[in-house]
Amino acid sequence: MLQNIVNALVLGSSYVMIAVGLTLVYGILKILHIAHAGIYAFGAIFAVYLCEIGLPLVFAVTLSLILSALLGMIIYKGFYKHVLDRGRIVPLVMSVGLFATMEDLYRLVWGPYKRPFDVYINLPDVMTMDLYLSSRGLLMLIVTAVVIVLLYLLLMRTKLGKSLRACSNDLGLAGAFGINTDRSVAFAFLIGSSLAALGGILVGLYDNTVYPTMGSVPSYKAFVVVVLGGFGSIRGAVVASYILALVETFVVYYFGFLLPRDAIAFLTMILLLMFKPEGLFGKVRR
Amino acid sequence: MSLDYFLTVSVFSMINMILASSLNILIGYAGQVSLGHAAFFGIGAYASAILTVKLGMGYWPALLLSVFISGLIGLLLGLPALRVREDFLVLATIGVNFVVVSVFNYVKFFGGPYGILGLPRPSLFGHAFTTREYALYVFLWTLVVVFLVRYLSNTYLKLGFDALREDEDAAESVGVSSPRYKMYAFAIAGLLAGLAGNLWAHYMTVVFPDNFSFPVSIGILTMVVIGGVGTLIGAIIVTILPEVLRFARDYRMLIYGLIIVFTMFFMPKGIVGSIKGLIFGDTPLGKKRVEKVRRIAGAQGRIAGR
Amino acid sequence: MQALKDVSLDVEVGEIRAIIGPNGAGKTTLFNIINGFLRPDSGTIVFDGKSIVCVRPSEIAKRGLARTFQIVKVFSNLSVLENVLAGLGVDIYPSLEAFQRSPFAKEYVEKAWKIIETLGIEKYAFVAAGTLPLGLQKKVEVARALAVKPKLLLLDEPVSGLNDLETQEMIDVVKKINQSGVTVLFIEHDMHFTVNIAQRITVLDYGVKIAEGTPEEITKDSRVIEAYLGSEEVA
Repeated sequence: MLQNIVNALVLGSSYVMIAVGLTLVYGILKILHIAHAGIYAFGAIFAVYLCEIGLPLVFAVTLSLILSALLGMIIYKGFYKHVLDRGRIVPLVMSVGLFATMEDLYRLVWGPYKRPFDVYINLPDVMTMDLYLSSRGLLMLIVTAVVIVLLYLLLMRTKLGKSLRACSNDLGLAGAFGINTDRSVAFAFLIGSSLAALGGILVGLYDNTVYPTMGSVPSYKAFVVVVLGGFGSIRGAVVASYILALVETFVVYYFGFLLPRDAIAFLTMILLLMFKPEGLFGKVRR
Repeated sequence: MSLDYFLTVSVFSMINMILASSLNILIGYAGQVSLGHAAFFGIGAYASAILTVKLGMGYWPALLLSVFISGLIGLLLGLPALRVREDFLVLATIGVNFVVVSVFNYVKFFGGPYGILGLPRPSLFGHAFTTREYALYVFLWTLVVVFLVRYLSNTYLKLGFDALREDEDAAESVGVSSPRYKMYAFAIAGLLAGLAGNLWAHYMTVVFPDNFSFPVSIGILTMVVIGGVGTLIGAIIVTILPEVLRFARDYRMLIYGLIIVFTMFFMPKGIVGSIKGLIFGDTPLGKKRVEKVRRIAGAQGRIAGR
Repeated sequence: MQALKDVSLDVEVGEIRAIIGPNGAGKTTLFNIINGFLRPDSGTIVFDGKSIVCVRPSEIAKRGLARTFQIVKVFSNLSVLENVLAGLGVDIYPSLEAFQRSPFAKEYVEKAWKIIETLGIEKYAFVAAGTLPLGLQKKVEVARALAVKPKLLLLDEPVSGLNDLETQEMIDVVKKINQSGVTVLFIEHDMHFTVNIAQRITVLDYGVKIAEGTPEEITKDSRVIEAYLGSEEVA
């Protein structure tokens, strides 16, 4: 039982990393940034690549985060920005196209095979009578906790954070008040993308596997989180991440014979979208 | 290039045409952005597979039943569309695609990841179709679908879809019930995609879950994105291209992705406009219709020259 | 917070009735309720002798209630003609006839053309509605609403954003429509238009009805003037 909870916490943490970025982008631009999945995968793949050529983990991670953040920026400035005025379908379909392109590029450049993330993590495994948590799992929990705290500080205590929240509330109004919306959006992408990459790295470490399409399923689940958490509420996204992870873990534990774990998440999302579209914390937007 | 190879490519192209037309009805006509279309394709295929292989039904009754089932499921899957905002419909449909494939993969009755084998070819008067005859058979169906779509696009059904796509509220205010029309769109699209699934399954004689996954949906989307009225052309391009350019086959998703991105960029009206835009240019109505209208209105002396 | 509180309205057949009030008074909400887009928390709406609460907007349209919108909602990618043809289909959509009848059949084209001429927009019949300037788009919306063969026409700010000439044209159009037997209920801020056309005016403020009467009475009503105090919209 305790083991299940621990597993769920780890799973939830991975969702947090992806979902926050998605929530940020959706909250401000109202675009379902499907290409986010591609950045998640990129972060992991690039980090693994750097480690394989000999860079120490910390450098690899940092470099990967920076590049992923830039990648996110490029996606915004180079692509989304130009089609924002064309309704909601166009940026969405474009995002799908970008995602497909990215995944295939990784496959072509890096290879389709799953590779291990062979790095030593200088943390202990936690082993008691009731539960086991690997060093990498512990890392995931610690990093996520730190990220959540930093995020909170950023959003609540800094000027940038306030701009982001204002934009998320009402983009037009924020602009009217003199907030540089373009810069805020850019920052949202920067932060969100590096978090996604970090998430990819952490999951890659935890599963000890990295491969080009690793972004697909986690990102769809991150969308479930965004829906559950209320489409734009960061707090909601964080809480929803853990709730979803808990639900998934326990349902699988008791009913695992019915459907694979991932399908459960998707069914949840479909049902949610149908019956409680404002999620747990959001407001219904017309 | 052998005749058999040519036939295979043709059959794939024609099945793709049917698929693209069905998605076009959903996205292009009715404006319901569905990104899980491979699910209907798969349901048609698997339904027929189960009926013929596991339940021993003959091909023709199985055809009828499997198409009906996929239309019905299309209808059911249209239910989320009634309650879900447009961009989230995309999520829901991706989810549906995924769930459907998971079911095929996971549930033993559907054969799991090893799929279902040994589907029969259709037979008439005791003679099972050869590859060539099957290709002709598919061709006939394709003609039926093309004519059906052409016919429908000249009805008030189509105008209802257009209204729904352009502005759901305004559509309601002129009498288009949006739940009803969304259901129509999903049912028709599901039906046609299910037909495509049946044709495909009995050509390949095997079905695997992986044949209906999300990348396949993206492929169908690409055809619609390229197309418009040229959806037929789009479908041909999509299947012919990787065959003709052998090396391109490995880059399929990459090419699809790039095509989608670039089309989104350079189509000023986005996916909606592409349906009429690329080919027609200025007026939303085709030349023939404009002439017909002028004649009717002019016949009553209503148009002053022009 | 309530958008509307105890608002009661009696529109006579054949009249032209205006609903005015400062921004946020709940006017469009009222329309949305009448139209079927919103459900009232309490109260009834009777149209043509029958209740239309909890009836789908599309069904309400079929019964003869048409509407234009505050923010123009033409079918942008469709030609003006198709916009009007779409309105003509109001009886057809719910039935299986939708699978059979063509909008471009002679009978519909003729009817649509007549309506288009009434609005004076024949020149633009084949143009995509979304490319037209606002004034013309508003006319297209009215034409489309007429195609529904309404007994009651709801116009939400029909002249907002229009210049003086266009406003005058709209006045003539609405008069013509009313003369042909259509009851008109409209929302407006433009007092020149309102006073020139309305036979009776109802005034809302903060979701509450504060006055009702003829244009002469209303323009002199102290409560109305107070509600608009400071606003440049009063004639």
